[in-house]
Amino acid sequence: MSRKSRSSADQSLSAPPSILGAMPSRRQAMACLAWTGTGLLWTLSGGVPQSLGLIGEARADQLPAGAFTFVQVSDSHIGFNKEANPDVVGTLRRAIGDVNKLDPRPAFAIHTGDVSHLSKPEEFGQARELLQEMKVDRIHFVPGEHDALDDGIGGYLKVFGQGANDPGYYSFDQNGVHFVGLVNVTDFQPKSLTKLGSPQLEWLEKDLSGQSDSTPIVVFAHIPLWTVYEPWGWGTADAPQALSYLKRFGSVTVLNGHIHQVIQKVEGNVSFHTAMSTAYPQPKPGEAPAPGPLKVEAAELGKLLGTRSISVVPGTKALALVDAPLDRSA
Amino acid sequence: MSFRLKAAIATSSLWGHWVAFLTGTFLILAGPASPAGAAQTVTIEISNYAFAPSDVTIAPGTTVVWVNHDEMVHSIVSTDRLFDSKAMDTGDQYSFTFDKEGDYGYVCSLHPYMSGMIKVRRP
Repeated sequence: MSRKSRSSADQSLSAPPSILGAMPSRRQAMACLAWTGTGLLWTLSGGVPQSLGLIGEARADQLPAGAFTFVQVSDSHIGFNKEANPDVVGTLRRAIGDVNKLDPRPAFAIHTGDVSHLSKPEEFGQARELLQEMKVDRIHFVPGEHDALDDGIGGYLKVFGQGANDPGYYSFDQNGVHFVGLVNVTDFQPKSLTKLGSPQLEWLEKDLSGQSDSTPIVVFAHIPLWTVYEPWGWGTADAPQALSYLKRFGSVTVLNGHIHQVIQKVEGNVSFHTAMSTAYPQPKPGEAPAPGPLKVEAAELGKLLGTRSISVVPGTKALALVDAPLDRSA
Repeated sequence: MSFRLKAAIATSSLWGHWVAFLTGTFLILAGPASPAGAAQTVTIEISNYAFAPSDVTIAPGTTVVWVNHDEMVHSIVSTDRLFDSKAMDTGDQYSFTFDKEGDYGYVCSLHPYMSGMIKVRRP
């Protein structure tokens, strides 16, 4: 479901309708749509949007018991300094500031890769320092291809890994949700999409085998796990095999980065979401000769960079995602 | 030995030395003793996420120099991992000298749809 932002002139209601757990009337649904883009927390249940209230106003006592929020940041590219954004540190700091304003506070963050731009140790170090300003208990990272320029992901793992034999992929559980971080940036063949590779797929199949079908699964990896645009390498060749292991689960959310824009897709019980970068925008598929950094007017940059917050509400199948640009229209 | 014979021997000996001197000089000027002549350099421009030229045929001993003109980092890795430029940012160059005949495919590890081929053939 794509969300289009509306100007403030369209908002005829003074407060958003709040209809937790009930089927909205058409008027309520239309009223909800008018609030799109203001930071409204949505959940999708059976394809019908239901609102949970404004993000800024939702307080811990308003979220159902067991609900929690986490954030996704992506593509910080620390070390990038070209025209499209000469200050990636500044825009990352603004993104962190936005995350720190969230109430309730997110439980943790996920970084979907391209932490650095050139895999330099000082870039990884600076990124880690900056991200420590984010008020979360933990940040879970997966590498992007820009993090794989120093002995593959060796340099990245020295800073963000868990030790000598860390393959870079892993899983963890939080409040009844199973999270899986995957690596799809170490296999590159000419004129081919990247791959997860057999060892990782075997690990994934084994990792999921212990989970019940009703456990919500969140999978995160840098490069999209569906083919967004093959000519630019925006896809993963063996993702279908990974998705076959996920087929039996009632709720699967896939979070990716890499393309520096939000593109979303729903396929059965699986919803796929790519994310904005905090560094620089990229062109839409096919709208430029190459997917290079996109230079825009200074006033536009903040609208194209941002973060995402995701809320998990027990009992609802799909997670509630809100994409927050650095610059939001009132 | 008659003077004429001594003179003839002396002359041919001198001439032999002169030819030897000229031959040696020619070899030094020509570089490695190969039919192709002196070692060469070929430049491949990286621009708009493409290698130009993307296919080259060169003689053994040729050095290939890649130059990155994009506002994006690229990283050249050969399919057989023979050479690896590591990160090449805007304006950076990377060189590799190909000594052996063969086909050397390579790719940008960041953008695998960028690929090229270097064929090394004795001329």
